Amino acid sequence: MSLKLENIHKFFGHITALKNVNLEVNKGELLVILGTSGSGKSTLLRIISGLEKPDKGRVLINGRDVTYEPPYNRPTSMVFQDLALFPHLNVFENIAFGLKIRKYDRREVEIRVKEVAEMLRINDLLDRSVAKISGGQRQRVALARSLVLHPDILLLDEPLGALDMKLRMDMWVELKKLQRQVANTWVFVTHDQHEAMALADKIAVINTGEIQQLGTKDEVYDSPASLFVASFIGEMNFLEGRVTEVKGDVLKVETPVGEVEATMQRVKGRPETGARVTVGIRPEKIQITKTPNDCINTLSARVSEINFSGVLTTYELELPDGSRIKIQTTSRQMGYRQGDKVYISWSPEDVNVYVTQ
Amino acid sequence: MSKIKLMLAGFTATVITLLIYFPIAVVVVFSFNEGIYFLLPLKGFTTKWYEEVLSNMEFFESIVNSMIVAAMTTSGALLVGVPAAFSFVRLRRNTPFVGFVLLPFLVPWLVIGVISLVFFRTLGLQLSLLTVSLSHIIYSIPLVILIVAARVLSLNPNYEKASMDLGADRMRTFINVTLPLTYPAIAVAALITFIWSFDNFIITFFTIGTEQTFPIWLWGSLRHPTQVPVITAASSLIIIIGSVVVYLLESYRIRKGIGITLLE
Amino acid sequence: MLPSRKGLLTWLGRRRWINWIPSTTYLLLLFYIPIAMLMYYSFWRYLKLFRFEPALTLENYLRFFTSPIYTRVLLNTIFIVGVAMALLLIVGFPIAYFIARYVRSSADRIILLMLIPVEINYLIRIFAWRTILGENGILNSFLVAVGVIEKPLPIFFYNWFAIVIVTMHEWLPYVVIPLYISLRSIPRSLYEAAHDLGASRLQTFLKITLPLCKPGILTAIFIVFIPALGEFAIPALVGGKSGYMIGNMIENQLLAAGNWPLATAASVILLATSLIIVGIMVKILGMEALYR
Repeated sequence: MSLKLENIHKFFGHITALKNVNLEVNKGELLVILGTSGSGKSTLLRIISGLEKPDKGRVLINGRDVTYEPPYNRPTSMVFQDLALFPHLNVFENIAFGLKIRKYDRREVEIRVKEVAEMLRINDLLDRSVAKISGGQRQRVALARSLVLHPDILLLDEPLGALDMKLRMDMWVELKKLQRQVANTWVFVTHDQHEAMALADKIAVINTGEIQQLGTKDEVYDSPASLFVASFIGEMNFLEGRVTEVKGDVLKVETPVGEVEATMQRVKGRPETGARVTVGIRPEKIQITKTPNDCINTLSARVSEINFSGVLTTYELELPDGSRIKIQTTSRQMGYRQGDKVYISWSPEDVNVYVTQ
Repeated sequence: MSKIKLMLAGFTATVITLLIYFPIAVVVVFSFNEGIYFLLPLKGFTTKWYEEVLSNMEFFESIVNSMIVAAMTTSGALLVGVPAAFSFVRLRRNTPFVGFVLLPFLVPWLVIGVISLVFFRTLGLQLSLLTVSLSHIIYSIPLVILIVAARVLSLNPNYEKASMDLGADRMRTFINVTLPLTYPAIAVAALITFIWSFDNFIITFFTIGTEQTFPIWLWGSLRHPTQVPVITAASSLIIIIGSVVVYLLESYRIRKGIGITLLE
Repeated sequence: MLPSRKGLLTWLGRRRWINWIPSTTYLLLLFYIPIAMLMYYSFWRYLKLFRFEPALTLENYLRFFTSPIYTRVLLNTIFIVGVAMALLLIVGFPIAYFIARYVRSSADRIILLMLIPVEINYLIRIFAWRTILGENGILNSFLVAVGVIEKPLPIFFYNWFAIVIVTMHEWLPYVVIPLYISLRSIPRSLYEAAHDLGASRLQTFLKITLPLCKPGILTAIFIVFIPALGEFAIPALVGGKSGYMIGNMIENQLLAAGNWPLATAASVILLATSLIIVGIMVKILGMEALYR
């Protein structure tokens, strides 16, 4: 186990920033901590780095308890949100900072800085001032400054925030490649679900100081552990309803627009008959047809909006009770027009059920 | 972390109290002391030194003279300096004008005093309160320009653009938009110049004639040991009045967000 | 024909360089010409008390630099001001750091507290220190009262260190303010990054905080050094023999000894010294520090 957090609590005055956080990350994994601003994700990262001490709980790195070790005694290194490049030092001196502090001899410093600069393709910039390079280049310098120390765990606090969308997407690919290359553990904090999806081996979704779900991308996307995760990551259609029957592997829910069936694996909690629940279905899991088919979960609807955005076509449909539902498909030519009456259906395996009480 | 904070807080408090306030407090305390020497223990409470000061014509005259000098200096420096402050901004740093008007800042006051004395004497001008003001203005010009220019620089240029877009010509934009927004800085510059000029001793010393400003009166009286209690009382009066004035000025400056005495 | 009022305003509005005329003219007449005059007098020949004749001689400068007394006075002046400056930075830095790092929201109030007694009362403060450090002063009578010494000692007063103390009182806020402004602009994340990269508290201070404070240090030196070099009231009132500064010498030569050529030459030397010292500081600390 590369990184283990046990029972972490953190309070700022009487505000609870983190509540009973437990996390485990294996060596070589890239964990993304995903949350909105104020969710406690940055505080969590700062606790791992040692810049902040938890009020309760333990931080273990490679099995060693480092909870009360200062940042400079931990095998971690942090890439800051504002990058925190030292403005009075040039690119080389910035990257070499940690090595010089550790009193490496001059040749060794030079070799290691060159090596990491090559890897990040900034070897032409070494004698430039950090004020005179582009945003993307600054990004790489900050990364190089941390990577040059070969940390066991690299911590990244929304380092791509200042880049524009196109550059960010390029950086995702590159970071992922880089992480495989250096093969150490990365913990990456972001509020952007697309970034999380693009980078993560594992995602930890955090909200109001609590970890909502820790799992692989697939787990988090296909089977969100809570309504919060379901609505935070990707899009989800929600229907309110009441459980009418629990039988073996099958759960039936009565909703205002008809009966919905779900398989028990996707049901969070243990709903009894009569319990209030929310049913969630991803837009791309819904089929749309002209005539009713014989699937279990079939509803009638009317097309109210069609939106083609390149790869995806999004349909917004109106259900008989006036509520709306979204459907996404990659095929463009389905021949529907606004106002058409259609039928929609989905498989019980794709239905997530959350008890709302 | 908090240990360091505590140590620094203690250090700051000690320095402010001992180095900055203690000497001033001593003067105020001893102005009520019956004895004429600064000896502990205190002899007893009296207000007789204040009575003596308040009947001292030289003291009053010197205060009035200081006010006259400060007023002349302030109005002169504003008149001459404020227009440049506005152009300072447009022409940026590279104009030779900027170096030309800011150079007096890099010259010791003593030298300003000496060159003024040499100049006035050579021209055969009678030294007076006017010559004091004329030499004070030399240093006040960069003072005024820096304070006002800092404010003009910090103004959002869009105000002016917006106003010109709305059809006002340049001059009207200046009078209706730029000037009112700069007004607080001009007021602060005026007050700082006034206080500085009132309190200046070194330049004044070289350029004054037979009249006395307050610092000159104090300087002269310091040579007479018997005058010490009177000086103490006079100083206390100035300390108290001055503190109120400086407090009002500085809180106004902070409220209006004008840079900390031209250093920002 | 006179232009209309509106026409005149437009005409003025277009010609912004006109704004420079009052200030440049004033300084040309009352600052630059007198400086030229000062330099001119410094080449004159001294005859006797307040009598001197036009000449182009270097003898005043030669006399200054060959006299062991005058060069001593100049070096002494630089030494005293240098010590005061160093102590001001040493004392001012922790205060500025404290304000910038821990109590930024009340920074204005603390600085105000420091400025109130300092923005006015120049001579009063020198007088106040006389009353404390003097032979019949508070410090002595306090020490006698508690029995540390038997009778008042003249050691705290009339020496160069008294000048240092009074100069520090004079300028402390003006050192703290630029240091505070420099420190305030350093983002917290830079300290954290340095810690994270392995730097201890001391290393962070030496490698991050101090270099980034250069603009503040330079500004403080500009503000303090120049006027302090030309000080003569403080040394005259508390300096004594070991605290005789070039300002006293100039004042004495100009007003009492009536040797204008020597006094003006010494003034030129003082002016040059202050510009050279500032130049050296700019060289050491880097000019870019001023523009950041």
